[in-house]
Amino acid sequence: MDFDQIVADYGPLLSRVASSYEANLHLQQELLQEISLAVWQAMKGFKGNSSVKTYVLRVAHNKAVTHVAYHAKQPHNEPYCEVENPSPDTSMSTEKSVSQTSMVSSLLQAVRRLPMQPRQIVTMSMEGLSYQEIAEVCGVSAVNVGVILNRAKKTLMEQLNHEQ
Amino acid sequence: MSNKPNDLEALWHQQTVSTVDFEQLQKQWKILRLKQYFYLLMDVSSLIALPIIIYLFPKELSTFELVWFSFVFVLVFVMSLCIIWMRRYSLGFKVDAGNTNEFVERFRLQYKQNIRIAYWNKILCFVTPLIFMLYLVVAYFGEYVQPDVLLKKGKLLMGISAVCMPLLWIWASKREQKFKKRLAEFEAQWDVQNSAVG
Repeated sequence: MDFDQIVADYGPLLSRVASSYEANLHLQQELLQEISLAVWQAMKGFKGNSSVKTYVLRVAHNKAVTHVAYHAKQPHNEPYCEVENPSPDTSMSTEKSVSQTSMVSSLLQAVRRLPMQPRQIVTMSMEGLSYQEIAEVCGVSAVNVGVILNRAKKTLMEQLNHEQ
Repeated sequence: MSNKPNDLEALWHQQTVSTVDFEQLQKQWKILRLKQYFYLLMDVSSLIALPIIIYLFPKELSTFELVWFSFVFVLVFVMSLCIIWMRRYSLGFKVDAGNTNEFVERFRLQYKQNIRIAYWNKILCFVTPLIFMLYLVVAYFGEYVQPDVLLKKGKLLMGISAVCMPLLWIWASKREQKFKKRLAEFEAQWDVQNSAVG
């Protein structure tokens, strides 16, 4: 599969994986580049045993694990960074746009507060992967995926409702 | 927000996304490949340096030095194999090699091996001067090398021992501490996860 096509199809997904691991925008962009490079290299080894999306997500999360291993220190306090925040959708009214940006930001913060495995599972679920596909990526049973996912979603809902 | 988990999915997809810089990606790939070639060159040159010396300067070397260099070469060769063995978790360490749990486990094991490699490098800092001294003592008392030549070699070897070995020890010690810290931080991240879902 052509890499341009992969980026076109899965670029936004890769960006969301990066944002679930890294709050600092500069490091987030760096991680997105690292993940994309890893996916580019790994596509040669794709044998079609799973869907492209599952394979891409497995590579992306494994690469993110590497990122965590090298950068895992104290939680980031989002220092100044020269990368600009992507522009929000201008088609909405300002009030609605601000409210939505705030909700998305709260969700991202809540996701990043989750421990690693529930974070991976919940983000893959939100990307539309089935329990079985998530189980293959994470190396846990599908039953465990269900248990972890329910707990994680409950935690996210509680945190979002608490912040509102 | 309502309490429907589907709302989470909708919200998740509303986040603004960054784009991949393809040109930067190609640059990164070139740098990555160049680094790999450089490391390969360093590994190969450290292995073949002694055979090249033995091959190029056979007449300048006494029989004793020939035997000595061959012995050191065997030692370096065995040590290189040991280090390659210790690096087995990261050699061929591809991001598509397994599921995330396996990947995390291999990462953890590689950190432990890196700590061991750094420890053995520290030991090497003490062993190398001993090998140098043994060479000088045997060459001196066995009268295998001309005294003036031996004096020059002695100064060079002692200079290397006095300057390079302490620097190498500091470097290895820092690496050992760095990997111990990283391992602890990495394990803490994943232990939190285990206790949360267990």
